[in-house]
Amino acid sequence: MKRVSWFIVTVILLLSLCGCGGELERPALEDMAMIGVMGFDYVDREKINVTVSVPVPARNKETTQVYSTNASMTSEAMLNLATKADRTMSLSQLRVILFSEEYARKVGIGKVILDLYRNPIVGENVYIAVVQGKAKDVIKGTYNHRPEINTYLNSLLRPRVETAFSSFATIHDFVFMMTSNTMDPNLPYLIHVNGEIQIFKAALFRVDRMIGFYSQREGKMVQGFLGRERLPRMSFEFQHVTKTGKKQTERVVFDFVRAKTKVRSEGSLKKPVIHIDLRVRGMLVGYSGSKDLEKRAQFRTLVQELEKRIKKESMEMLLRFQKQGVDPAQLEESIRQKYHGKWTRETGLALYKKAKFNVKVHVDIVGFGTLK
Amino acid sequence: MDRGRIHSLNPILVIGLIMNTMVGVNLLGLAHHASKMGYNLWWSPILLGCIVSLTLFPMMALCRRYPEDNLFRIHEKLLGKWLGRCFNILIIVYAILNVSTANEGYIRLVQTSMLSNQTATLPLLGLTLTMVYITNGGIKLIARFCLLTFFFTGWMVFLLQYGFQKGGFTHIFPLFNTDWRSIAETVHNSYASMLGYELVLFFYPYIQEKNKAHKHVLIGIWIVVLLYVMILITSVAYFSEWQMDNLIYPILNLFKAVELSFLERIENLGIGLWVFLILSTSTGYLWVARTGLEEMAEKTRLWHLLLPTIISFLFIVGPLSVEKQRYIYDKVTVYIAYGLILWPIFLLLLHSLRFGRGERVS
Repeated sequence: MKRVSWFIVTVILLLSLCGCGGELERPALEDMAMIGVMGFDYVDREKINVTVSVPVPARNKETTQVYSTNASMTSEAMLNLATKADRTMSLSQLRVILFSEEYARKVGIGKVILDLYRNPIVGENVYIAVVQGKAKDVIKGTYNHRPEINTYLNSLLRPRVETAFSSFATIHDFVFMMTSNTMDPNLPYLIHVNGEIQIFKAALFRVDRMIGFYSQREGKMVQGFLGRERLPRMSFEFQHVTKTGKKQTERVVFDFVRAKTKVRSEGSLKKPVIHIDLRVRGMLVGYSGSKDLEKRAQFRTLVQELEKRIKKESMEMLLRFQKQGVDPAQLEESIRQKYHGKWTRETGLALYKKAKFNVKVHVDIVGFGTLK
Repeated sequence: MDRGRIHSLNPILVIGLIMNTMVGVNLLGLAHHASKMGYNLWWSPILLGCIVSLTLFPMMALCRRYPEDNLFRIHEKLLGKWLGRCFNILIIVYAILNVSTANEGYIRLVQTSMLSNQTATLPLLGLTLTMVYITNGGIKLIARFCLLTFFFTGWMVFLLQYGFQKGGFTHIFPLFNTDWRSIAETVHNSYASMLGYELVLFFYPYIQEKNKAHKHVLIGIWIVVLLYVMILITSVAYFSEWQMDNLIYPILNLFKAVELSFLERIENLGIGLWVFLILSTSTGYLWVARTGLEEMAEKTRLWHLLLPTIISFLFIVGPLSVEKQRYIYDKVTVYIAYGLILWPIFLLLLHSLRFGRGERVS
C-alpha cells in the first residue's frame, strides 16, 4: 500500500512539472483563420504569388478575408501571411488549390503540391484545378447569388457525374498521376467569365508542367478508358439522306448508366497492340429522329450507329494523343503489366508511340424514356 | 496476479500474444521499408513468414528441452552463472531497446501528425505509465490486453477497402519483376516488422498446452503475414512506386483515403487507436526485461519493473540526439534481434554436447 501511494504521489508531482513549461497558449477555434482556398500565380521563376481566402464566420452575412503575398515556397508564404492576419492561420480546412495557367506552364506545380503533401495538417479532400488568367482574380472576384468563394469553389470542384470529364484530383491523386510512370496527369481547367466560374476543359500535364488541353467530349472518353463507371451524358449527331433525297439530322443524347473498360496489351514489345474493350449501358434521354424505337430492326441500326461513332471518335482521339506523345488515358499501364525489367516513363512512352490500337465498343441501350 | 509459475496461457492467449507483439510500430512504415521491390513488395511478407517459420524450429526445440525454464534460466544452466548472466544482461538491454523503439516511433508519429507544435514528453509519459501498469499484471494480463487490442484494432482492416477501391489492382503485375539483390534488401529492411515472435523463448514456461504450442505460434505468425499482405496489396493499388518509396508513414495516407459521411479526418482516430498496438508490443518486451532482472536478483521487486521503464523513457527524452536514436533503433536493435533469433541453434548444439540429443532437462 505504501509503495502504491508513493507511486501515485510521484505521478502527480511529475504531472505538475508540465506547468513549468512556458508554452504559448494554443488558440481556441474562434481565433483560428481556416484557409479554404489557396491560389498560386506566376511572378518569376523563383517567386510565386500566394493568395489565400479565409471565411469569416458571422451570424447574418458570410464574408471572406483575402490575403496575398510573394514567397518561394508555400510554407514560407504561410509564415508571411501569418503576420498579416488577425487570427492564427491554419491549413487544416484547406479545400481547393488553384494554379494560374501561366504558373502551371512555366514553372510546374510539382514543387507546391509536394510541399503541401508533406504537411500532415492538410487533409485529403483538397481539390486542385488550373484557372485561365490569374488565380488571384478568381479568388477576389464577386459572384452574384452564389455562396461565398470557399463554399462555391469547393462545391463546384467536388466530383459529380456532370463534370466527370476531368480527373477530380486531390493532392494524393495528383502526386499519384505525376509519379505513376504510366500516364500524363490531367486537371480541371476553369474559366472565369461574367461573374461565373465554369469547368471548361481538361488541362493536360507532362509530369508537373501543363502542356495543353483536351475538350470535354474527349475527356469523357478518357475517363471511360481510365475506368470510371459513371460517365457524363454525351450527345451524338447523325446525318442521314432519306429515300426522297432529303437531308435529315438525327440527334441522340445518351446517358451512361454504367461503363466498363478492359485494356489489355498483346504482342511483342517491338509491336505492341493495345486492345480496348469498352462496354457501356445507358438510356436515351433525348432523341430527335424518325426511327421507331420499338421496332427491333430500327433500334438495332441505332445501336450500331452509336457503336460505330464512339469507336470512330475514340480511335481518332487516341491516334491524335499518340502522335503528340501524350497518354492521359493510362494506356501504358497495360504494357507495363507485361514488361519485365526496369520500367521508366521513357520506356513507356517509346512503347506507347509504337503501339497499335484496337477499340471494340459494345453499346447496350436499356431504355429510351416513355415515348416510342 | 499470476506471478508464480502457473501455466496460465491458453491457446487463444498464445496466438493473441504472438500476433500483437509482432504488429506494432513497424507496420506504420512497412510499405516504405519494403519499397526496394517496387510493386512486387506485396508478396515480401510471405517470404518473411517463411524465414520466421524456419527460425522458429530451433527456438521451439530448445523450449521443449527446458519446458519449465525461460531463456534466462536456460542460459544459466547451459553457460554457467557468470557467462549466462552476461548474456542475460544483453537480452535485457535488447528488450529495453525494443520498448524504446516502439514508444519512440509512435510518439514521433503523433508529434508529426497531431501535435506538430508541442513537445511529446507528456504523451510519452502517459504512454509509459500505462505500459508499466499493464506489465505489472504479469504475462497473463499482457496476453489478455493483446486480445483486447485485437478486437479494438482488428476492425480497421475493413477500412482498407477505401484505398483498394480507389487504386488499380492491376499494379501487382508483372508478378515477379525483381532481382535477388532487392529481395535481400527488402527482407533486411522489413524484418523488424516481424520481430516479436522471439518472445516465445521467454513465455514458453507459462503456456498450458506445450505440445501444441508450436502450432499456435505458427497460426499467430501466419495471421500476421496475411494481414501484412492485405495492407501491402492495398498500398500497391493505391500508391505509385515513388509514393511508397518517399512516404514515411504510408499507413497514415491510407487512413486519409477513407471517406465516411459522418466522420472526417479518420487518420486521427486510426493513429489514436494505434496506441493499443504499440502498448501490446512494448509491454511484452518490458515484461521480458523485468523477468530478466528478477531472475538475476532471484526475487520479485517493483523496481525490477521501474528500472527498465525509466531507462527506456530517458533513452527517448534524454540527451541522445534523434539521429543517434534512429541509428540504434533501426540498426543496433535489429542486429541484436538477428543474433537472438539465431542464438537457439548454438544453444541446442551446446545442449546436445552437454546432455545428449533430445534430452529433457527440468
